[in-house]
Amino acid sequence: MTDSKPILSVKNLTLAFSDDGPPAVEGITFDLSEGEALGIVGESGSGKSLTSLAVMGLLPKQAIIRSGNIELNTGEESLELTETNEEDQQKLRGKAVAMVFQEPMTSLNPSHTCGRQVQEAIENHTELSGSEAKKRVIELFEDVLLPRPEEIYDSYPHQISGGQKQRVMIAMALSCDPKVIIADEPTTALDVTVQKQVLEILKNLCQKNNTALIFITHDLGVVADIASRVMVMYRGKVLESGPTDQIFHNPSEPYTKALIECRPRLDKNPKRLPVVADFLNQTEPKQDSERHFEEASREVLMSIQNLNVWYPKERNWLGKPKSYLKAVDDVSLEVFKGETLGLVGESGCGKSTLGKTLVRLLDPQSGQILFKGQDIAQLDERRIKPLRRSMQLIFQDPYASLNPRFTVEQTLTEPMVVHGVGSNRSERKQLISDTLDKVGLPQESLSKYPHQFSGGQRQRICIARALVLRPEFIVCDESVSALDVSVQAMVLNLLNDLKDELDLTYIFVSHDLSVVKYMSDRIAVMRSGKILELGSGEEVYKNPKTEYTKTLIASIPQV
Amino acid sequence: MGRFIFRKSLYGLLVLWGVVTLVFAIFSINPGDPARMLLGQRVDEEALQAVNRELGLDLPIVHQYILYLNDISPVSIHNTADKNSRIYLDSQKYKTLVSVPLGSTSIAVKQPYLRRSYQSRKPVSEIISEALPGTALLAIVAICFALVVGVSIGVVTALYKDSFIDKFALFTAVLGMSTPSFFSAIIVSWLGGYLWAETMSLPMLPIVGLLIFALITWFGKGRKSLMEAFSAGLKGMLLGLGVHTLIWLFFGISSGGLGSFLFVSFPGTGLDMTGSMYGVDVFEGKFLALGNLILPVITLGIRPLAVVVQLTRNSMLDVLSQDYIRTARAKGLSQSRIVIKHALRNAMNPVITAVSGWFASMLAGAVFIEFVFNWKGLGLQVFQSLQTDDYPVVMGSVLVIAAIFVIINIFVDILYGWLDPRIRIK
Repeated sequence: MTDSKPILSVKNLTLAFSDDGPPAVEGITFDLSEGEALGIVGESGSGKSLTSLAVMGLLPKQAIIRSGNIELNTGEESLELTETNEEDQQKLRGKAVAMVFQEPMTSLNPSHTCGRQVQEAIENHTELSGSEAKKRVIELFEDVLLPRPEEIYDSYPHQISGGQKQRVMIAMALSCDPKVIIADEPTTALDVTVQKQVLEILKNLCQKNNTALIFITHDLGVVADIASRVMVMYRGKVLESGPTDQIFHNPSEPYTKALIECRPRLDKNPKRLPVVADFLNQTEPKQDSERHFEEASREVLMSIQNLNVWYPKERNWLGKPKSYLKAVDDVSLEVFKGETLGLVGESGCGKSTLGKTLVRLLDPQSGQILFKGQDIAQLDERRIKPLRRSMQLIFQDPYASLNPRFTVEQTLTEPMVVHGVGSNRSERKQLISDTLDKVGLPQESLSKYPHQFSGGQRQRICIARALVLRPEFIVCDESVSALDVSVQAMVLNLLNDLKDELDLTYIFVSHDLSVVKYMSDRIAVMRSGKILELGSGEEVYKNPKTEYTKTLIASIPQV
Repeated sequence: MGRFIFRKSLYGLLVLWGVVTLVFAIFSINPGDPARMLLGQRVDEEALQAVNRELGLDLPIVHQYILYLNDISPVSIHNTADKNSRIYLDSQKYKTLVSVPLGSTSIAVKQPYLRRSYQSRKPVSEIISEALPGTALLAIVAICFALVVGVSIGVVTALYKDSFIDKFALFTAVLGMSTPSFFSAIIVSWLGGYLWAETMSLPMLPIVGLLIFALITWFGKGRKSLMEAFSAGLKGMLLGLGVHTLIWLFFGISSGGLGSFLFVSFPGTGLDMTGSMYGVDVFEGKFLALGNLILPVITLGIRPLAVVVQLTRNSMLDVLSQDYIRTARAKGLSQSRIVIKHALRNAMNPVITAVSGWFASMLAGAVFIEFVFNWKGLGLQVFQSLQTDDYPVVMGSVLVIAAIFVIINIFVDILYGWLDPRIRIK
């Protein structure tokens, strides 16, 4: 690092959402020198995004900067960002400091072409003419390794994949040669394989252009590769910061240790994942007993034969489908009682479609689903209803899958009423409070609404909703993908405890091989609607039979 | 695109056929007596039967229905031999393009024939082509007025959410929406065409209040935006109005004395209370009188305007909270550019949906408004024809209106695709 003044220097930054309320971010101090990559790590609500928005001057209206300085040194001049007015900040945004956001799916304007959106940034900050700017955009698209840059220039965001969109966002951020790029969870919404490519592109281009990078994430594993320095944030404060090696190998704070440990690992099989609470309470995690996968009973719970689920791709003018997208293509599979079967693959491989079809939320085109010997593939809604009680689903997004106008009690009572579980109110109430105990939610939760809970707690509500019906078979569809790693560990532990206690059978759908391997007795790897390989977790991990599985394993960030 | 329009047009023809069937069904359930309407109450039975025979009303309803379909269909079957046949290919009735003779009958491709009015004996197509332009002009100008003003106000209220301007505009919008058009038509025509036609005397206090508050804010301490000055001006106006009302309540205001002090006169609107698209001068004949448009347009536009304000505001608020707006801000774009280039286009969808439906129904004629302002238009025409059981005119008008609905629908579908590439028609 050079001795010259840092490019960005944040001192004692304190932000709050009201004049007298508690600060959301308190006393943040860090320096960033030219070409340096700083990782900011913390769980949601730790204030890491708010800090970066303050640097961009994009704080939400309600947020107030209570104290502190943000000094930006552009080379020619030194600016105090907390005192710059909106007009001058507009000139800096995109030009001196640029940002890559978390959600590539929604961060691009759906009604403009990708090329135009990048070109707009260039034309806004430079004097380049239209055709020169277009040339520059194509160059940038080549830099971020987009295939067929000319074509993508004229494509609308919905026509390209998530990874490609995030590359367009990176191209946009790089377009005016900024001094600093802030990447806020840029890969969280992406598949592991895509995540790896995007991270490499970001890292290489920042090194090439000598751009400083602030990389924000909840996942320590991702930071290891990209950042030279790491700052760990917890509840609005900086817990510790230091060189990446030191943070990973010799963390001083128990919270940091927890963040490193709670990620499921491919090489170990602890019985329980360590969680943050273990470390904060200083109770050394219970001895690392290996988790053993007993040979599951050979009793078949569900047998799937030649299952096809197709979506209509084109329709003729009478509305009859002409061609199909084969989301699940001739799949045969057996699920044994009491096991956890992992379904893994990239987005679009058909794993979620398969999961939803097994509980008949989707109707298969053809094939058989024998559940306890009865074919449910073609049963009509009236006849399948009694069976729904024993098959439940836990969805991906705990924020979207709970009705915001239902209290927890209403949410949990509804399925019981539908299926006639419990004969009267008091009996149902008893069942609900038992279930709440099981998923570790306090009894006071009953009268609260979903927005009053954190993401992890909401997922517990979703689990409780599935459990009140006392099912035998549960499909977890990306149930932990939207959660922070620290929360993910708690939910995974809970799922495993419940399985032992209630004798459940899981189908665990995820794009994250490390999570699937931790959870599952057997793993099925899916690609383009077909099952590529199926075997025990160890087997798939140690001797992958296909190239595709090897790529998946190689893409997982290693701590 | 071509295929899409073709397919939609086919659907459209089906809709038109359905409309004819429905109207025929209604008339057959509740038949009027056009012949008696034509001849008056005291007329002998034979004359009535003669007229009924002439109009084809003596036939069974199904027979009438088929004959009518044959008349309005672009491809139809005709008799070329018997002049007394009801389907005789009469060049005075049908504007034939091609006819293929098959013995004594022939298959003709022709313009749809909408028959003649029972009352005036004029061809229905002529009656409609006289009435439609007036209605169309009124509807188009009114909807443009509602769109331009409504979207502007909607955007401003969204940008200054929860400010005084926002609340003021929303309150006014609710007021505008809940005023029935027959009432607002009378008020607008009375104010603009009678009370303020010569001189507009307005209460002075609100105007003074507006000016003073706006100027003090604008030139006062600190840099203020135009919007803040405007907002202060509005408050000043309301305050002035309040004081004015109090004075009026306690002292009463006559035209002399206090009144001359409290009112200030402006040049009047110079508009007439009623009038059509064309005026008729005794010496110079027909002339275009576009000034007559102003009052009915305001009356007709108020309610869609109020709806557009609310829809634009809500939709803009939704769009402004989207991630891609944050991206646009992170690019360093100015607020105005973000609003115009990135937000507005994405926010227009619900507005277009509401406005297109509204526009189509306006083209069907705004009966009350045409009635109050004596504006010669389709609505008034249909109203009068219904009173006199003039079925061909009613039927023809309904068909034309339905056809307009279909065309607007196709147009709006294309517009959606332009606004949002995700639903673009391939």
